[in-house]
Amino acid sequence: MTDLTVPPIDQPLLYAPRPYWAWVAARLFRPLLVRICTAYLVILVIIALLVPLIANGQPYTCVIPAAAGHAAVREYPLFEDLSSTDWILLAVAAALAVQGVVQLTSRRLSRPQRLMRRRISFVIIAGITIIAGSLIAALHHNRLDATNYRSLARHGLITHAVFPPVPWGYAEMEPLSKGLINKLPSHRHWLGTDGDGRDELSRLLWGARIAMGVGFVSQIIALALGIIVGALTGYFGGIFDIIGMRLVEMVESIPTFFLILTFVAIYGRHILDIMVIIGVTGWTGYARLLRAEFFRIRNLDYVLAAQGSGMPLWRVLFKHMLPNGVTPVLVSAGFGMAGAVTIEASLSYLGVGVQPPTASWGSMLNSAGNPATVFRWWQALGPGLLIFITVLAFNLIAESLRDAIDPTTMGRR
Amino acid sequence: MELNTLPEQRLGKEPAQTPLLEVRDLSVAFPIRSGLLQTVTGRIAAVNHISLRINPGETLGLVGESGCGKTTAGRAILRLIPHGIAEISGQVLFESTDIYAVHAARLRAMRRHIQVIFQDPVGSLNPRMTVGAMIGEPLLVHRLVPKADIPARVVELLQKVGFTGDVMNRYPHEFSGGQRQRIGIARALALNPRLIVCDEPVSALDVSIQAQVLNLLSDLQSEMGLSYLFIAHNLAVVEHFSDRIAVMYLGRIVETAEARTLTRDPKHPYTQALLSAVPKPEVNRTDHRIVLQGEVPSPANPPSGCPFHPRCPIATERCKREMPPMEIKGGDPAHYAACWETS
Repeated sequence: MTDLTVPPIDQPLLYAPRPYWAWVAARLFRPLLVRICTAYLVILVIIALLVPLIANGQPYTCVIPAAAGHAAVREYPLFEDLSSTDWILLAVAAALAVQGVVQLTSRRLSRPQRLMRRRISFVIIAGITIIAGSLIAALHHNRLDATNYRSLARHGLITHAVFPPVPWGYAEMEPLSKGLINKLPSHRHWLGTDGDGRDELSRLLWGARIAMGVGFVSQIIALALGIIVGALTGYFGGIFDIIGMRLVEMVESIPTFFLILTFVAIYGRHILDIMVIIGVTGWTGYARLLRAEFFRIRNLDYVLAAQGSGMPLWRVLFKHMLPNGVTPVLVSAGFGMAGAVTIEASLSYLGVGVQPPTASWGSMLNSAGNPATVFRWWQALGPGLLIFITVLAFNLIAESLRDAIDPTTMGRR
Repeated sequence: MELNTLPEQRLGKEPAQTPLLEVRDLSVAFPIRSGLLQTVTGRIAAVNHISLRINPGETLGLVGESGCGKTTAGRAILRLIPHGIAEISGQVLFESTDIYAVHAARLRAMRRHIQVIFQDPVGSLNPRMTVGAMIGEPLLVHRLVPKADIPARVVELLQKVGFTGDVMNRYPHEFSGGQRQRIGIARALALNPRLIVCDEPVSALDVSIQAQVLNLLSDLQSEMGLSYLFIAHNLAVVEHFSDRIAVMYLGRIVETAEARTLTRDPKHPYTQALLSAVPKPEVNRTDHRIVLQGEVPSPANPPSGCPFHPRCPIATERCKREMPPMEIKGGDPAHYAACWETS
């Protein structure tokens, strides 16, 4: 080999090497407002996953003191009363936490090692989560414990009770006799109570679960459908494109809101149905965007090179084309999240969303009354603000992502 | 079709040797659709009945100006023109197997023997993949080496094109044009191909880097016994690099000969014009530059007779009416050209 013509070229680089996603993230999180919004949403997601441990009427643990006939018994009322959904979401939270720790601790490793480690931990955690979740879901049944542990603790019938930071369940009502209905914020109920004597703060926190659940589940469904349809129509074109786009137009002509109303009228209120309906009617925008991107990417040389070296179709589509075309779709999904949260809140406000006594920000807003008759500001302020800020946060992040991936804004940001 | 003589005859090679690649009468036409019903209202004949032949270890240069269909021909030979976009006819025989006649799975397996190097060093590398992942991926997909040995093989390939192994974890945007082109070459080499289609591999590079990449390609050829189909618009580049040269004009091959014969004694007026544009390091240049008049005609509406006649300095009435066949010129059995006026 001629040394003269192929000199070693590994001179030091003038700028730090940075993969595309790291570059996008750096630009995305540069504005302070975006960082605040992200932090807010992360906290909201954590609350949504862990809310039974944060706002609950039962203590984590307590001791029934020794009495005639039996010794002291330690009990775990809160954990015994968790539903299977709660357990699965706790497992998800644990998985995310472990994944986060792995990410942080593997920073110093070389890239392949790091990727390998993350991949292994992800597979293990996902496996454990799925197995544990389905086991619990199969074996577990709710006790539906209605015992008032606070009064037991007050009367010394249980000792060493450790209550969650917000010691009220979302459906727990103050007895009518106490006259604690529609009360202003107080030491006992930090954000006051609603018309059934339920703690506002607890219900706000539980409402986060519905809002985040609707946002994430519906958009994951929509993204999956949109990516599949968009990728196939954009890659194959021709008859695929014609059929796919007619399907998109058909689905686009369905009014989501009224479809949900009809569904609820026939089959009753199930939040999971609502999530699925928002998802299966909301994918069309993603499909259109990805189709356009795939039209562009399909004829780029690196895609031809991938095909030319005999890659299977799925690898060309999802390893070579999707990562290069997915960013506009993610921007759109950010706006989609905000939209899904709004739809759920509106439905619940109209009383066709979640099944009572499930807490949702929309239904809480509704029960605050209206300014013409009785308006209890403390019942409207919390849910109203949370809906507003959540939607705003999703929109701001999506908008910032749009700017971050747009090379023409490079100098300005 | 009078052009449709047997390629062996036309290229003047003894038919005994099995060619690595043989293109027989390949045509690619893009239909023009318009109106509400997308009816076909015309077609662009990008490649018109071309026949080529590449023997093992040989380099065939394919030259022509932009828009003459040479890139389309390269893509068609690789079967990389998306299904349904173009009407393709003819045969592309790789080691006597027609790549247009095999099924998808067999085609994928065959692809490891025919690789491609692209013109645009920016667009030809996936910006979201590291260099190592890009070069290692074909090895992984074709299971050519055990998974654990892939990194070692990638380092070996990178060294072959003049890098050290530590560039593996870098992304394409961290490299210059010439460096990227070498990464593209390493990717093409990963599968140990027999034939590489080089689609203007040096056109986007500046001259000093062009020499570097060309030398690398020719070193690799002698080292690995590769064959090249070398597509270029610049005769000067092809002239020294190729064993044989085929000149394309408006989707047709107008002249083909051994590289030396073609550059010394071009028979087709188009080839003569192309050659006169090559700068020569002589003080008292006596030959004059032939400047072609007019634009390249549209392949959707090609001229009658010889497609070159509107721009040809020696065209006659006959050229406007009748298409010249590929004929032996100058008594050299390896030299063919399609022209009525030269012999």
